[in-house]
Amino acid sequence: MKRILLLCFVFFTAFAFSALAQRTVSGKVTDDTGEGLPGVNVVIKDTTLGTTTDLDGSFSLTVEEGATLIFSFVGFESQEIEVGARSVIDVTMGGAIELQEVIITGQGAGISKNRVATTVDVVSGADLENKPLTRLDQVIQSALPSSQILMSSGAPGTASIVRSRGIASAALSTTPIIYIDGVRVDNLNTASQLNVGTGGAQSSALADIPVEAIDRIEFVKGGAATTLFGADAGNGVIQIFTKKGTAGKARFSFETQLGANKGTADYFKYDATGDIVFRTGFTQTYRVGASGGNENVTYNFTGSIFGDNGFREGIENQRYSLRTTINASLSEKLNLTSSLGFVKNNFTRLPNANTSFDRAYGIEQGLATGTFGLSTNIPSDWTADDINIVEQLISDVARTVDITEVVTRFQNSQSLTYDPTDKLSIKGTFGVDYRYSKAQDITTNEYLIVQQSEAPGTTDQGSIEVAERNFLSTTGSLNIQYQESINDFSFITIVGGQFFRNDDRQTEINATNVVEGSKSVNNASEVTAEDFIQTVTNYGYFGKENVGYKDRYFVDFGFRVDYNTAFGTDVGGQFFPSFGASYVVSNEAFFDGLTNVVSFLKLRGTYGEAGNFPAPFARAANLAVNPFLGGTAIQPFVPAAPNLSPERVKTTEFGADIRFLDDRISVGVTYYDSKTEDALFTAPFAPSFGLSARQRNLGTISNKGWEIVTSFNVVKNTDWDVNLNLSYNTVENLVESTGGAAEFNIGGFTFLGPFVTEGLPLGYLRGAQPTFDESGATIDVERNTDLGKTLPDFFGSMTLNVTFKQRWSLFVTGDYQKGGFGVNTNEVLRFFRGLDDDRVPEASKGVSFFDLGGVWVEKSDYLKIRNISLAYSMPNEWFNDIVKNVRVSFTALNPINFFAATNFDPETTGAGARTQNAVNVGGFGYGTFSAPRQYLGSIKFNF
Amino acid sequence: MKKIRISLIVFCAAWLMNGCDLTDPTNVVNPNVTEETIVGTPNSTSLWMVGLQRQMALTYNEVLVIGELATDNYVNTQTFFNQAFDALDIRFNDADVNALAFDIADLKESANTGINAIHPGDTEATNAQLAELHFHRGWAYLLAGEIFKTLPDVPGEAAIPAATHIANAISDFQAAEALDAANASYKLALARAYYFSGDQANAVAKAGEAITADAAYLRTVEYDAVNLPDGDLQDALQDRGNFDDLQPLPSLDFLDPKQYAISATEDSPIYIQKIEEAHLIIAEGQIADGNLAGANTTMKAIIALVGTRATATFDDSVEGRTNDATTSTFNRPDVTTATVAFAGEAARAGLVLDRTAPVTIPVISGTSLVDADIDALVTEDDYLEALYLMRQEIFIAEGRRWMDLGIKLPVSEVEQLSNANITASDITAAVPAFLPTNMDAITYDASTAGAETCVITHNVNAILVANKADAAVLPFH
Repeated sequence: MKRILLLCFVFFTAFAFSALAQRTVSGKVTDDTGEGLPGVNVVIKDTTLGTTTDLDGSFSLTVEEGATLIFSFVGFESQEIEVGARSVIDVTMGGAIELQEVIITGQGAGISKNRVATTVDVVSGADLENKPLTRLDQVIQSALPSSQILMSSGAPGTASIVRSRGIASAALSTTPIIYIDGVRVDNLNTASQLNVGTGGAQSSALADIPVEAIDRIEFVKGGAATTLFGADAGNGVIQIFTKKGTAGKARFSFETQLGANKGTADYFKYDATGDIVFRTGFTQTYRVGASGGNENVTYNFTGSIFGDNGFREGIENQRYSLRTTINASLSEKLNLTSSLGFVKNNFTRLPNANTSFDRAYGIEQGLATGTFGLSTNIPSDWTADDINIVEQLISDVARTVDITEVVTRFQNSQSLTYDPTDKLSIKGTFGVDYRYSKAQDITTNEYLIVQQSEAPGTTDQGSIEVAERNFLSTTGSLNIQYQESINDFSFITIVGGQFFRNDDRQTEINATNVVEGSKSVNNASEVTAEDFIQTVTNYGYFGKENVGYKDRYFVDFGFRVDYNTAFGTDVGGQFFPSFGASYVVSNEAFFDGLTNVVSFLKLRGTYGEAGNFPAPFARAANLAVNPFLGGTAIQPFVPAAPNLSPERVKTTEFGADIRFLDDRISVGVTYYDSKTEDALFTAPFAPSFGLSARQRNLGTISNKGWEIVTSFNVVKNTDWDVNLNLSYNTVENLVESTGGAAEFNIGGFTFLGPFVTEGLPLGYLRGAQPTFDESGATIDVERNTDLGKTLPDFFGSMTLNVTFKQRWSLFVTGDYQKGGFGVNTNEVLRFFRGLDDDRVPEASKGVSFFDLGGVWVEKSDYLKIRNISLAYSMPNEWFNDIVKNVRVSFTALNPINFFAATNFDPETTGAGARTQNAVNVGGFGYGTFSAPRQYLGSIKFNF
Repeated sequence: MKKIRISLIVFCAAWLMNGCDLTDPTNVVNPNVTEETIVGTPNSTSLWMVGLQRQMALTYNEVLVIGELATDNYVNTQTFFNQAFDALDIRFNDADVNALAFDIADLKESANTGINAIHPGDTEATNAQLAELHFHRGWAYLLAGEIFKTLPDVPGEAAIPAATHIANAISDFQAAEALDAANASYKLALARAYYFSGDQANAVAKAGEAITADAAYLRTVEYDAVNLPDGDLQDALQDRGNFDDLQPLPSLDFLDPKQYAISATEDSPIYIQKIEEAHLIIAEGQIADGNLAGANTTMKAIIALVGTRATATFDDSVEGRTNDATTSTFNRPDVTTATVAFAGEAARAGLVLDRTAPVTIPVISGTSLVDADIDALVTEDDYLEALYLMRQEIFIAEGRRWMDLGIKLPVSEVEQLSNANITASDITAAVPAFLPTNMDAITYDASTAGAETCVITHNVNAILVANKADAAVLPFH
């Protein structure tokens, strides 16, 4: 019976194949210069079957008799070709369409970049393709030419400083708000309000935005360009668009990346520190991808697993991520896009920076000889016995420390677009971002004894600290876009509304006198808990009119009216206007003769306002309620603030975009003048009021500067393509007014830290400046004086991209800053331990360090090469077409650092932000490790 | 038919809209407690009193650390606690000056709100609670007068002199006493306020009444080691362990650390009122009156009283005394064989403890003086110097020494920048010119094991007595 069934199957199979009369068609797709075009979609008409061309532009496809192939590629007109009897079809893609880049963020809906009067930085999927980076802020570090991304610590998943155009707010982190496919997501880039005390290793929500699925990133700077985001976007907006897939046969990719991590010892004073503390860590990344679809449905899926066992024992990270985006035409007029992402991050951490338990930096700062039984605290003089003791200490700490953090995150976005006519488009978007993090610090008695903090035999000092954060953000928006052309005029009208709601709920549990070995807070003699709840809803409506005349004169007007639950009770809707104009001079007839030299020239100018809403519930007359000695302590805290309003960032910018020699050189120049009015300052009341400080609309902050972005196509021929991008940005920041309030501290120490005061840059370093006489004695001390600003005078980035024969590519990125200052806090601590250098003369060594602050302030200039990457794409004939493309690359991350400071990394900052989402101006080189050197090798297969 | 259809549509629309209640995104609930939720509610005074106790703990954290540093009691070897105060360099822009003024104002305004709003609206409130509210406001005034040269009373208004704050304190303590006449605390508080205002007769009288009311009286400020605030001075004296800490004058080594970690969940309290103070005031009155025999009896009674006070034995080995070899400046005596002398005076033994073994420390009051020392006193100045040594030893780590030294803080920079009524005179400190700025200076010679010697450069009590006529110190002289 079984044999009969098998025969039947073979028979029917043979019959089916003979009936279809299939055969193979192959060919090559080229552009009009004869160059092979890789990645061209070749689809069999009226089917979901198809392929894409390989690196040489070649394709091969099995088709039925009478089939028609559709060849499509971005930037070219599609072609339909009947196969007929041919088995070889070579196609030349002609009719290159001059693509105009479309900008979405800040515009309400997609709009041609030419019509936009503000600067928008765009990172394309192709830019991201070959970067072996795993977190968003690293990805954009050198890709955004007018922004700075400073990695505050080299520990995985920790906070960074992201800023552009100076510091517009003393109340908020400079990190822009982040949208993924139209949905606002958690952008917390500081420690959460409740967290375990690791002394500065503060986890960031940017660490779990997966980078694999990014198709494109748009960044609009705060102020003029972000008016349509209203009271939420004074610091700018980053919008991420995920890959939606392209029609054609399913395409698969698999990538493996293996690498070694080596801690950067560049900033250490003693060689022993790096030798003892660092080890060679191992990283591994595995990525899979699938994309494809047909005319009606496209899809893209990515998944990755990442592991990093740390350049120091005790620092580890594993990450798992998945994202799927599906785009479906429900009808001719209705389109649905759905995107869903999941990320899980596991971290283990060590105490660092602001804790005396950081024994690794303790080496640099002089371990107490008596405590640890060392012959000296000078690492360069250590004997073999001393080194053994310290190695054992570091190893014991790593063995007994138990600080972990787990992050789980889901994001989704649903968009429904309805296009009733060619001119009218209605788009509704709804989505959520849910992020759960749990940090746990189990301090055992053994750990405390190892740390020499408790005497041997101690059994009652064990503790467990658990901090959980649940964050849910919900976003909904509705945009209506109408386009009309009348004679030489073109109109784009956009109206819409948007809301988002953030629910942030945190709990912290502290258990003391925990039974040794327990990992549960239940096994403790005393357990306390606290929570933190912050809810805010922002909602408003907006409109924008963009008018073009003869495709070269454009003006736009926009506004947003915002309501927010954090506004004072007497504060109603807030109106944010914008106005802009641009002029594409090169589209003028009189310019025709010049286009050989100047291929494009656009002048633009704009004015716009955006805001930052106050801290939720700051408007209420809150009492402080605390548990105290078994009772409930109620105390006056802050008075009500019925007029608490958003701070307003008002920006005027002018600029020009010029491209020369057939676009081989491009220059963008922008001058911006930004003023934050009603700036939210948490300045103290006069102490005689006995009231705690809270946000008040007190200040005026100004930021001015130039942004110059250049791009040079140095060589372009059949073999070589060499591109160099350079940027130069200036920033002049000033607190114009504190509204009569006294100056206040926003980080660091009170004896030496960043302050806000009238007439000086925001976050200037305030401390004492001593004057020494010839003998080195301190003859004068000027206390609380200006020791330098933390913001640089100028900064920028550079990118070199070299391609040879479309197979080899070299990619180098770097960035720099100059003119700012930072505190060499490590050296302050060395002073305490008698390991200081000669900056404090012998005759002044007895002077209080409070009066010596100025000696530890140093220039924070640097030039860092972040990435050198060499890649090779292997010819597919090596693999007999089984594998479409194999790409091998070798990358060195953070290979070269030049810096002005004596021995601290001007980029790292151990101090962190004072409270959740508070401003962090950096400038505290302090007890935390810099981003490690990484040497990565990766191999990627496309099937 | 059309009407029915319209009605149906309206009905359906209303039905659909009903669901909006479930999806209203603007509904946010402030999880915090606001003033409206407490004023006028039963038992609100009890909650408010706990708040005042907590504020007392916060205030004492500020008073104690900078207060002890601004004296010869403690030296700040290398900590982030204030270092300028250690050298008597007290400026209006010092953050601690502002923090202390803030805490005192917070205490006073909290008590004010309690007296004027909370207590009247609380149907369950008692007279004893009202007395305590007055005590706390009076204590805020007392600290303002004892510590600051001038300070605003009304928020944002002009700064008023210390004497007016002390007078306000006396009014509040009297109001408390009127409400709860048997309470020794209010009598002792009045004695202290009168003492600092130089009113010897009233001070001595109230001191006597306090002893009669409770001959062993103690009042504490408690810390909450679990929920915070925990004790900052304890942190500075003991807990910081191997990082760094405040070190006592070697002659006071046997009294340190008065505050220690009782357990992982319990910090030591601060004794803000002790009946010893009443005896000390009486003795000083007797010396001022030339009644040395009376003073002799009183001071021996104090020694006897101190002898009844509790001690604690605990492991203080982590704190240690000797710092790194590279920072020999901070090397200090840490063996029982070490002797301590003021420069030019006889060396004394038995003042230094061995911290490698468990130490026994008087946690309420301690003194190195014995009856024979009192009997050996001859002149009025001898008695005064011994009495001020007693005050120093008994009140160590309780924030009292700087008051005895006559140090007065200025109005803070933040107040000056935000309050137009502050004058140039308000923002300068008052530090008696006769006080040496290196009060903590010592030399320690440990070269001969078993015969280690420590010499303290200044005998500050002798300096005080030599300047007893100065208005800033020794109020009965």
